[in-house]
Amino acid sequence: MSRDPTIPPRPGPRLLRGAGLVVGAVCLLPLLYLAVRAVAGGGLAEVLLRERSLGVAGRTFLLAGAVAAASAGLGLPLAWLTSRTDLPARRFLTGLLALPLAVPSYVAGFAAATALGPRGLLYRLLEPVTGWERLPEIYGFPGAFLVLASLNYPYVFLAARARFARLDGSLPDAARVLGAGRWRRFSRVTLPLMGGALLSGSLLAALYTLSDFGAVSLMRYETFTWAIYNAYRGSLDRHTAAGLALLLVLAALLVLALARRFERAHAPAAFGSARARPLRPHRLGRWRWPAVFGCLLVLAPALLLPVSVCLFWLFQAPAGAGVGLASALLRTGLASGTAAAVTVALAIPVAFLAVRFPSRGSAALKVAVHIGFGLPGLVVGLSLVYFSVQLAPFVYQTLGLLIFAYALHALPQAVAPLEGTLAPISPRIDDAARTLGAGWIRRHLAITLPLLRPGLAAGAALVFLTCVKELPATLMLAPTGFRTLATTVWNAAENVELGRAAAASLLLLFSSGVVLVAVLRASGPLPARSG
Amino acid sequence: MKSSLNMGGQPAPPVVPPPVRRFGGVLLGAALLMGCGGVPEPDTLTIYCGRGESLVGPVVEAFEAETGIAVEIRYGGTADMAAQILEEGDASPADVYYGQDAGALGQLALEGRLRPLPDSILERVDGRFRDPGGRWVGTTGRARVFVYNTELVDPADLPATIHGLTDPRWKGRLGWAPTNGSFQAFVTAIRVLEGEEAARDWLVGMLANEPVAYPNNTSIYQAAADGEIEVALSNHYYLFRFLVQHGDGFSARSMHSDAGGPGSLINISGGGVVDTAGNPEAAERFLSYLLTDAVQERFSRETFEYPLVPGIATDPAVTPLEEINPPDLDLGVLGDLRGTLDLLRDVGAI
Repeated sequence: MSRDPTIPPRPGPRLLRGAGLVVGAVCLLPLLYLAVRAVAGGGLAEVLLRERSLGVAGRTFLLAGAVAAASAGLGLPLAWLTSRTDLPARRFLTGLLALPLAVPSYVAGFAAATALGPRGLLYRLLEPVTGWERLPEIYGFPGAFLVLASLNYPYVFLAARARFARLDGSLPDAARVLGAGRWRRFSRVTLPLMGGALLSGSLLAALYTLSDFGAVSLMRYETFTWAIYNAYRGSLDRHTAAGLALLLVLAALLVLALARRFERAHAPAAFGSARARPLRPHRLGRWRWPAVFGCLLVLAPALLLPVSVCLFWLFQAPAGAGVGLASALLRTGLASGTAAAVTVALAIPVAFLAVRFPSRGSAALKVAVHIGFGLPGLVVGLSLVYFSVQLAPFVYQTLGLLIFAYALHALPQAVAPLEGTLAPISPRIDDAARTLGAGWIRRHLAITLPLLRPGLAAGAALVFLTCVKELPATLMLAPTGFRTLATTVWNAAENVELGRAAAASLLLLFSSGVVLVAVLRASGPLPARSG
Repeated sequence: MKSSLNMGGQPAPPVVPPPVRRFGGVLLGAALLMGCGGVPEPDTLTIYCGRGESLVGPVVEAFEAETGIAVEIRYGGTADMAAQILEEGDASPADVYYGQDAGALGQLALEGRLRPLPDSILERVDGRFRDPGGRWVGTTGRARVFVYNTELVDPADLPATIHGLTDPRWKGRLGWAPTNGSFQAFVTAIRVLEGEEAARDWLVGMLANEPVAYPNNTSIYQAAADGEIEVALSNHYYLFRFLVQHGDGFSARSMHSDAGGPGSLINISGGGVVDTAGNPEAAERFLSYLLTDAVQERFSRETFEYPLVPGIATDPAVTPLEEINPPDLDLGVLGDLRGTLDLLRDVGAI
């Protein structure tokens, strides 16, 4: 993160530090729970001695690394195409390209298995033409990678778009004057400026991959999360499961450490002046329509496939498909909307401490905040069962606790965009307002918050999309009888009522899409547009 | 028209329309209000249910109407709900645990989380289908079967016992769900009925045939119907749910085999009263209600499971229990899953 070098590091106001401390402590609750379970029950020792753990760890890292790399590889060019070129239907494509974030991995995984399985729907379409015996194997790494990469690249896409939007055109222009060619300008000027966006987006994609169960179970790829679920489900073996989950935390910490090392090595000194010169959009020429086709191709596994499979099931078994969907939609909106507001509020002190007052403490806080996102919902849920029952039984299975669980899980998604917005805002604006006699409250209400609005809105949207599709913690912690769209999908699928599961999935996708488009419209700075 | 979802771009003047803010306030207020209503009324019956809502929901409504007892029911996975009761400890709000695997019920009983049931409940079902210690009772039964693709397999070629599946001619044609509770209960049954060595040999023999591992029974049936695999091990009643949705064109069928052996094991769905139940009388009434003739008939009709109360007819589409000849096995042993999981891990099946 950039900081004006002339301002000496400060520990931060006491209120901010206090808030940060509280948020950090709360984020460590799942870790504390795992330590109690794994160490007390001997689960950690058992897991460490198990030969298979090594293979599970290897597969987990392979998948997380591959998904992070693919997210960067897809997200950056797509962001460039939609914000820096004269691509047709850019605005429409931008909305579509962000939408895979709203697709639950269990829906995408099920759709991929149904459609791309060795003898699935695609096979049945192709068989009369090709006469093939079966399609190439999708299960294992290829399927898990395909599903997770196609769902998670928007983390990089959105972060990179935001960075492109405020890229200072004078920097590449200066490079051009100095004689740098097109490739050199991109690789030596633009790309390093994109480093932070690539990193924060890929980090979220990698952590999400660590936590995912839906895709890896349906695609049959045995990662840590798969092993954790099986330990719980097989024999209610909480100790082994906790031991595995602690290893998963270690994996998340390793990913975070790598990200931090990379961040330090590549932090740009400045993004450019506040009054950035807009960049001229590149002309794609005859590549315009192939580029549109490329964008649609990326959407095929993440959107087209789940939607078509859901429609197929809906037509196959439409009876009773709409039962209870309206109330589930309302409750989903209530829980996820409130969670988005709460999470963004919690993210504010974290982002301020990280950007304005960088120190060991604020770095540790950032790490703590990310742990909950790398853990499967089942573990976050059980840890909150444990603590709330022991310490605050009156909140157990209330909406408040569910929202708290959502916030704990989704917090880093609100922190990242907020940091991105805060970083280029000079603290001297605040100092100036102080000199002019504005009080603390007035300064923040009148100046800071409006300046942060784009970051707040983007963070809230990301958190909302994550909460809408969250399943295991919702099943565990929601008030009794509180059914969301995600739990409706689960309930119906469990009963082989595939039409109803499909209807609920489609409604989930559609409503997430509406919210996403609304935020796209309301949230701020628009890329300079000409031609 | 311009737009971009922004993860931190340049500051812009606030343009959020006031109604949006007001709506946010309403959301928050409503959330706080709902947050207050979390603790159930003392005379409410709280059920943790590991079975599907569309099946159990109407039964619960009828129970409420008949008895006047208010019910709060949570749905989740059979194992997940049991794990949650263990994690809640003494403070568990659950009165009844109702799940679909004798293994999970046995686990709860082993951990001391179920209280003994009165004979009036236990004696409604055959001794094979309840806990020998009297802490849980089966409500419906499900049989293990071979599932096969009707276009690729002639049922006459299917082996007479599960051991026939280890023949090399089945290599690359099999499917199973090794992480699924009912499969693991079945492996426990092999260990108990035929011994540890036989169970290990069977698993090793199966693995040599490279069975495709599916996450659950639904995907097994789907894969068998698609011809992704030819023969698989599963439970009997899923077939009939698929037939209801797809009609007779569904290309998978099932066959009962391995008479008297683990391959014809009858597992149960069933319930027990949680040891910390605040409302044990209502909990027992609910379990009794599940064992009334009317509810047993309803389950038989709607889920194609076996009613466990004697004298209730099985759905005509389903092979009657008497013809299956299930093994003589005390289902209480299914609660000891530790050895089964160790074995499955040891041979590399999970």
